[in-house]
Amino acid sequence: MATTTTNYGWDIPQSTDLVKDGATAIATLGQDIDTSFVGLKGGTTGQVLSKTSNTDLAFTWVAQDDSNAIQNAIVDAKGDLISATANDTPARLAVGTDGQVLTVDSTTATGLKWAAASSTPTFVGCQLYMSSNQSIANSTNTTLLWGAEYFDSNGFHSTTTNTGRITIPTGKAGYYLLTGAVRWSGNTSQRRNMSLSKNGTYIAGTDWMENPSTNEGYLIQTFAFMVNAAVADYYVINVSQGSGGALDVIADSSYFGAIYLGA
Amino acid sequence: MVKFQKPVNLNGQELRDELRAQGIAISDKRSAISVDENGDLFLEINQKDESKAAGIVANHNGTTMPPEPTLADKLLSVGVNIDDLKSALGLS
Repeated sequence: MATTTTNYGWDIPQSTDLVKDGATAIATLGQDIDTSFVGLKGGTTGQVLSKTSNTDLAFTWVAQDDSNAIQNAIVDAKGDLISATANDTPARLAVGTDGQVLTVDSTTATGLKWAAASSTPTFVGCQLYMSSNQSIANSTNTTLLWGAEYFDSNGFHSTTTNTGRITIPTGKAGYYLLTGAVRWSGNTSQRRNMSLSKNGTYIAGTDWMENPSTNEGYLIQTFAFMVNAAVADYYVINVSQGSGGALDVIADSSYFGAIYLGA
Repeated sequence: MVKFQKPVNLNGQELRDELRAQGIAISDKRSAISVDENGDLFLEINQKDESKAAGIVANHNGTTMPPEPTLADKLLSVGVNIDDLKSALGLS
C-alpha cells in the first residue's frame, strides 16, 4: 500500500499502523493538505485565481482586471478605439466626429487623433499673362512673352528671364495640363496659327489654326494639352499670322498656364 | 537655324522673298522664320549663306500694315458711336 497520495505526496495512514497512531496520522495528512492549499486561502468577491509560479498549487487571488487583459471598461462609447500611450499601456481613443479620419500625431498621448479629412489639395502650377500687347510680324513664327503672373506656385516662370517659358521645377516632374489662349487684334486676312513647343521643338499635334471671320478683335485661339514633363523641360507658345503686316496679340484675354496633375 | 538681330520692321513673307531674290533658299514653313523669346531672329537657311543673309536682314524694312478698323472705329469715323446706332435702331 502506498504511503503517500498519488498526486501531492501527502503522507497517508497505513493499514498496518497502530490504531493508536491513527489520529496523529490523520492530523499530519490534514496539515499537509492545509499547507498545500494555503494559496487558495483568502481572496475577495470577484477575484480569480492566478498562478504565481509553475509549482503545483502555487496560486494567488487577483482582481479580475489583471494587467494582462484589456477590460470592457476601457471603452466608453460607440466608436471608441483602444490605442496605447506606451509599451504595455493601452488607452482609449474617443471616437471623433462624422467625416473625420484617423491621423497620426506624435504630440498626442496616444500618438493618434481624429482630424478633418483634407479636402483641399495644394495647388501646383502657374498662370501667366501679358503685361502688354505683343506685335507679331507677318509670316514670322514668334514666341509669346508673358511678363506677368496671376500665380506661380513653384517657380515655373520668371518675369525677367526667358519670359516666354513655363519650366518644370525640381521635384515636380510628371503629368501636366497646359492651357493657353491667344487673342488677336482685328483682321480678317489669312490664318492665325498657334503651336506649343517643348525645349525649343514643336510638339506634334499642338498646332491650332483659325481663319478669322471677324475683324472686331474677338478672335481667341485656345488650347488644352496634356504632357509628361521632366524637370527643366520648358514649354512656350509660338504664334504666326499672315495678315500681310504686323498684328498684335492682345494682352487682355491672352494667357498661358500649367496645372500639375501628378507624377 | 542661323541667328540674326531682328529688324525693327519685320515682315516674314517679304523677307523670305528678299532672301530668295538673292539666291538664298528658305522654305515656306512657318518655323523657317522665327523670333524667339529674347527677340532674336532665326532663319532656316544654309550656314554658308549667313553673311549674305545678314546684309539682307539688316536692310530689311518690311510692311507693317495697321490692323483693319473695327466696327466701332468705322462708326466713329463718320461721327457715330455704337450707342447712337443702337438708339437709332430702337435697341437701347
